[in-house]
Amino acid sequence: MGLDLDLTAPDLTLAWPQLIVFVMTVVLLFADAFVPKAQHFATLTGISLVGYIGAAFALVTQSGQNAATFDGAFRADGLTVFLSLIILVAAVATVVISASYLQNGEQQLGSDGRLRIANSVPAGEFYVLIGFSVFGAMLVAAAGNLIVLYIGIELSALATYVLTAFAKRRLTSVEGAMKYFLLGLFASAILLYGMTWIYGVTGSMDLDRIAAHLAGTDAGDGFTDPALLLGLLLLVVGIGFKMAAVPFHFWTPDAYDGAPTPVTAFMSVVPKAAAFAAAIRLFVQALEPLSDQWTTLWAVLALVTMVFGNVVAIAQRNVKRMLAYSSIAHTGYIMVGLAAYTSGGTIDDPSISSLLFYILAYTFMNIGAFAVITYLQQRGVGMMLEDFNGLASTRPLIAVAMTLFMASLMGVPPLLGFYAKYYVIVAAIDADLLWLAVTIVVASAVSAFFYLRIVAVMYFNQPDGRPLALPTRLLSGGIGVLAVATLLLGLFSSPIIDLADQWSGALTVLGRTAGQ
Amino acid sequence: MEWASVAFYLIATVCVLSAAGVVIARSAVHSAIFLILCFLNIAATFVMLGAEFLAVVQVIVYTGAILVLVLFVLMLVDEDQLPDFHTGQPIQRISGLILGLILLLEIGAAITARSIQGATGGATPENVAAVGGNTQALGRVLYDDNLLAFIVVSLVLTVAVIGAIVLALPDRRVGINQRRGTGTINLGHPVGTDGIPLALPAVRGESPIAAATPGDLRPVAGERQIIMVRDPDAYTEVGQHDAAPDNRPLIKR
Repeated sequence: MGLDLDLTAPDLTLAWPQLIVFVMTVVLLFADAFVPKAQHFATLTGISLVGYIGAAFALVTQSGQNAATFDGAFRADGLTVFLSLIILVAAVATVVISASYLQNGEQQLGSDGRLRIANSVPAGEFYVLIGFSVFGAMLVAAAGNLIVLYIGIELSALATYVLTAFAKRRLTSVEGAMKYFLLGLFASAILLYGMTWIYGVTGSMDLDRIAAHLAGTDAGDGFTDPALLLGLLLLVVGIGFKMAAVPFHFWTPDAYDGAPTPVTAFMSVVPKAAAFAAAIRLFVQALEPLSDQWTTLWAVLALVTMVFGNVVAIAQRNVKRMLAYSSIAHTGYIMVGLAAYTSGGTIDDPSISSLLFYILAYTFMNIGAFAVITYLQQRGVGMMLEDFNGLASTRPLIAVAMTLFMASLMGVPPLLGFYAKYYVIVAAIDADLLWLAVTIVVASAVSAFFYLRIVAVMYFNQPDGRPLALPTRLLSGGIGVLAVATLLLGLFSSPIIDLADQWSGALTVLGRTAGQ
Repeated sequence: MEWASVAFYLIATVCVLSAAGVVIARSAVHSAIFLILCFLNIAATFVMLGAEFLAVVQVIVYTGAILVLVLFVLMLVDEDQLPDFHTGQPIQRISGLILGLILLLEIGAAITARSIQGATGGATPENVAAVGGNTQALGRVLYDDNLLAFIVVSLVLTVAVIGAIVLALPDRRVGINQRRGTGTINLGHPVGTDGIPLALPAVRGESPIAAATPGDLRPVAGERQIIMVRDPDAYTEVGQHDAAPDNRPLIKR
């Protein structure tokens, strides 16, 4: 391997889905400037939806592929397909639920009882930034080396920082964005420093080559090399911040609360999915020989995150803040999947596939919950618990949908959230982490308090005469689809988990063979 | 000792001291100038390592562009409005110090006790010399192995530009802009420019002020544009969402 130039063109057919999202974003950028005002909004929404759905179809045609291009920097394997599909689902859901928000702006109920626009959000830039963020997250899922992984995370996060500040006349929005931005930069620096150490120790940026080099130098001493462990520790901190694990979660409540609600829905899923994609690529693929070390770290972090997120969520009366802490708790549940990875994982190891399935389930139920808040916010309220008073009598269908999402987040049996927790618990028990499995169950029981409180408020309190939301067809339809998915996907979860199994198995086996 | 070692230790010492100066200096401008010194010394280290291109980039991008921008921002902001960077509870300072020392120890241990050797890459001194030097080798790596990352970095910059424009542009709220009207308010005379005395003293039962003679009327000192709106609430900052929903919006202007 010298420095000879190898100017063969990269195989772009492998990158079709990502390219579709990229081209769509560029088209949006131009359409924003040139489409006349009357058709502006409909055109941009249409382009976004067509782009994401087209990319999803392109991904499906790629399933079963296992190849790399750009000198190994870009991978098209099962993990890429599964995670990118989750990200695209989240993107479509975000576009659907943000439509009414973008048209009406952020409304506030004035003291005179009239609604007025407090913040309008430019639709063009909103869609463009969502597009770039989705592209970055998909790139993380497909990353084959450390640099692409890092730049994908940065691209995804940078667009999200700006989106958080989109309601810029509201101080909480700017405050949340500022905290998210500054802490995000520190976390990126820490992550990058960790990558530097890993590169320095192994001499390679390529994930598979790192794994091969580490496997080759394993002297059977369980890797006590301090340089390697320092790099590992820094990576855990950096990734832990991006996925909002306790104790790196301090930005989460403010950023989630301050951001416009559709953005909150987006940022609670896509950057988190990107972070878990990065974690799988970094730890399961590249640092697999160190799995004894990092599973312990993730297990401890998962325990703290689950307990803290659920306990603090109890005290919240602001529903968006409550869902922020709930999303921290769910990060903990997902992390159990990572902690349950067993050394020398085989196709039978259920840990990574349970993690993948949990992210999928979390996407549907969490975006659904935020979609209901977006729906209520059209009338200028919807953030506080009291705003749900008597929703069951004024908007019965929305109340049913919210009940489904809350029950699913809690983990009530026939729903999607139950199956997600079930698979994670099975993985934890398989890995002899009984204490983590017990913690999941106890934490879910604690979480019943704040999830069911919303349901109780909707059904048992009297409506207090606030003006009703004006339903838009796109938003109501979106909530309906998400609710049905939450209800039914759990019942048909076995084909999905089979796919996840097959693909995560393909990843670990690939890591092993590429090392030879 | 060789001259190269002497030069290196000199540069390294100045670099570490100026980095410490960034943190210790009380004035933000002094911090920025210490940072320039630090970056210049890092550039010098790059030269000693034979990475001339990186050294030049370090000077042009960090010292030339970024820090000049930082200094511009510092000059635009009133120094009194800058936060004091040296506040904080004693417990914060002490715990920060302890954690920092632990991290420093870890890094020291990682450097000294490292046992695993990395694989040799393609950029050996012979290979670099064969392609004509450091800059050429860097170009080859950038446009070959790291082509994808190189392309995507340009997208990161695009996002940064779009984000900066979105956040810096004034609000485009059509609804409110249409309701906006403008007028002028005269700041010329304390009792009004039309010569009619204010009614207020009379109401209070004091002796009314005599009608102003033309000599009393001072010339108009200036006109200020004001914005007239039907709904003054529309021009106030919206209160926090955390506040009770029927709370009056906080008035910020």
